[in-house]
Amino acid sequence: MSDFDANEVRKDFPILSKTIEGNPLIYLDNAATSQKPSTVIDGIKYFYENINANPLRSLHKLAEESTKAYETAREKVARFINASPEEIIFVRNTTEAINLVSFSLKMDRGSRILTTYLEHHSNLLPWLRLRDKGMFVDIVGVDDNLELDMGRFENIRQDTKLVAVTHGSNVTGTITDVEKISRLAHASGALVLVDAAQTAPHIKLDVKKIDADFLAFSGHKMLGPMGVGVLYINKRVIPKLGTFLTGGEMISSVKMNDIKYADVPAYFEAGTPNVADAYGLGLAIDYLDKVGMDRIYAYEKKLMDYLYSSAASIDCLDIYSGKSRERGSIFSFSVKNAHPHDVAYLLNKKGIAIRSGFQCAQPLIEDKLHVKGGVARASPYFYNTYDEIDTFLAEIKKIGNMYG
Amino acid sequence: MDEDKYYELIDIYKNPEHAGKLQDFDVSEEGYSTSCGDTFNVYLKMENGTIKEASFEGNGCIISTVSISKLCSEVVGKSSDKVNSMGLEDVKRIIGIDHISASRVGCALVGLETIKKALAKYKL
Repeated sequence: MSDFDANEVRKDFPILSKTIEGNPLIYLDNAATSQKPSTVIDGIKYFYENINANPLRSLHKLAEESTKAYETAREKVARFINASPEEIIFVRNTTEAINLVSFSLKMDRGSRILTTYLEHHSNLLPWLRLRDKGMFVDIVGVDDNLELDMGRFENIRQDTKLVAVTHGSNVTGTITDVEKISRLAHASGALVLVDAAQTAPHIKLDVKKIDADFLAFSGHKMLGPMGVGVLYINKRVIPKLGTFLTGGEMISSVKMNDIKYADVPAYFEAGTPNVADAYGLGLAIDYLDKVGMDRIYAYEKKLMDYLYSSAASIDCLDIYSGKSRERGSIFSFSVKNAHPHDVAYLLNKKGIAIRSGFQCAQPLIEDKLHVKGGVARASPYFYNTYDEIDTFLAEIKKIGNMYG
Repeated sequence: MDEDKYYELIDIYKNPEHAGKLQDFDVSEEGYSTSCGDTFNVYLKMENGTIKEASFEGNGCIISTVSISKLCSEVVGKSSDKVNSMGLEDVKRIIGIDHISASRVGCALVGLETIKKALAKYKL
């Protein structure tokens, strides 16, 4: 493996040379959305200048090229997670992917869904909503090390139809053992949905190894444009699914009294698809492949170890992440006596972008981390440097002194 | 708002005036800021259709806490109509800052909105 140089890859991201409030931008909000390399930004412009047409149905040359661009992007995504192209559904984002499953999975009243305290609202509300339709939702807790209570997966009730679990928490950084959870869920007859929004950008995913029935992630967190996400659906579960959105592109023939639907993936992609952004996601995957997911993972692991070990000696910090057996590129914290919004505000004055608040995981933060008012979160990516981590922590210390 | 101004407000933030429940109040109301996720309670003592005394309970960010604390002084002697006519510009003036970013407007207004809700409840 060749040496990885974050300063070298940074050159590919135009926004990273911006200044904010007179300081060089230090972008540490990648769990919210990543920045985009020139290949993606320019590629989307190229698409609209050279390829744009409504794909799939029209017969002219541009439509053919647009269709090809769309399906090539699907193939790239499939290869990226070791799936088949027909198992890849393009959606807007992870939220839509999970909602698609919650709306289309056929379940009898009284069925149970098992999810966890580590979830982002996007893998929680689609299930809690089903309680209004007579379903039951069970929630797996977390222990002091921010690990899921794995014992709960050993004894899944027989009437549990689906286990919906995150692969990586956006708050605690916990990486869950989704392979084991899949195995245990399948052993009790439940399907498995994995929310990979926080891991797809950082860890090489293999849906065959994970053996999930559904796996969802967003393009915009992995260098792609906003507006395109992915839902992987294992072929074997297609019969258990009904329609989601209906309309154009998702049918094979329509008579007033006889509708024949198209096969998956078209079945779940009603309406004109977001070809330009799917194309952009394909280019993002090309970029990630070129850098190498293994190198990205290895570099970020070292960077996060450095961040956590440097932060350990800072007295004004309370740290809410990173205690698990394996952790992602997430650093959730608060500065003693300071509200997280004020910390985010003051860091912004130094050009440092972080997230503050409930991180779309309010039950986790209030019930399990016992924090009122949310936390602050820094979430690095492979283009962040050790120097940036040093600057970030130095500014944290200054804020801590002011509030101390 | 510049950084120095922010740090000036920290002293108020650490030890805000009018914090704590009034012993004798006519109406109380809970307010929630969706932008900072903070919850406050306000307590009002009324006299002859105006606010005689105001206090608050709760913790939030510097913008929400300082503005609610200062509002508890500002609204004394004012009628419902007068308080209802107040808005973001008044809050900015009261806390002494000229610019509040769009994402923090909810923090700045949670105090004023909660006082207005309390007054509406009192009238009922």
